[in-house]
Amino acid sequence: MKRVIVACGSGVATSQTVASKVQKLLNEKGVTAQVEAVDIKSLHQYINGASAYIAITKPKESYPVPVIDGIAFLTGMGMEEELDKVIEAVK
Amino acid sequence: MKGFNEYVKEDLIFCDVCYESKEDFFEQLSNVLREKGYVKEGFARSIKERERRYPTGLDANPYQVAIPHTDPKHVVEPFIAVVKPREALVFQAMGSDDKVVEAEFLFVLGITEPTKQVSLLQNVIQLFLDKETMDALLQLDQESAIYQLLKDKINRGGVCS
Repeated sequence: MKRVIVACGSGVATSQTVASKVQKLLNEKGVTAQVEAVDIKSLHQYINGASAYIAITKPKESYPVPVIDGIAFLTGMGMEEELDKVIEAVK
Repeated sequence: MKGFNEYVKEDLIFCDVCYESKEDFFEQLSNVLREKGYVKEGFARSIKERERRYPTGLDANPYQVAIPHTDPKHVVEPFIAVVKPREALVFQAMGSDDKVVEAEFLFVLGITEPTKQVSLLQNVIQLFLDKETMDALLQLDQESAIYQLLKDKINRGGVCS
């Protein structure tokens, strides 16, 4: 199954929340993918197996997969657009 | 698992409080949380440091809020502290180095088990994205009234646990 990873500062709350929201949205659209919150310190370990990276903190470098703005899923602003990018990435 | 209802505590709602800055806010709130037994001594330093590295200001149009939180090891009992400062506090926006928000409402999350308490933040988000509730919250200037409104909102199913 295609994987999408979400990382925030410490994995305490925000990444978990965004992961669960995106998972729900994908399920509603009938898109099969696994969305998982990971610790930002282990990002490198996970990113190669992922189809997209949903970032809550500002990306400091470039990554081999599409980077999606995770804040959109918290504030609702621009959420549909970011969700479309996730769907495109896991196709 | 406890519901959102149980995390919102009447003694952790603070209204019309003056803070000189974000740092002053963290100091004052951490002292109260410590006195009441919700957090350990390291909480103040930890939450300030985390806010500096990973800011939590959110522009939840039309309202600006912040959701500070930190490492569970500094939290004794899970809670949500709701603070409405007299003057909006400047917080850096989440995921940004240069954008700031002027937070009119602060929801400080005391999380002990991140995987089990996902609903906690989800409920807070539902709350501040609900314009009607935020309009009402901003009109209130008493802790007990804010508490009552939050409880009513939760009980009416507007915010589920």
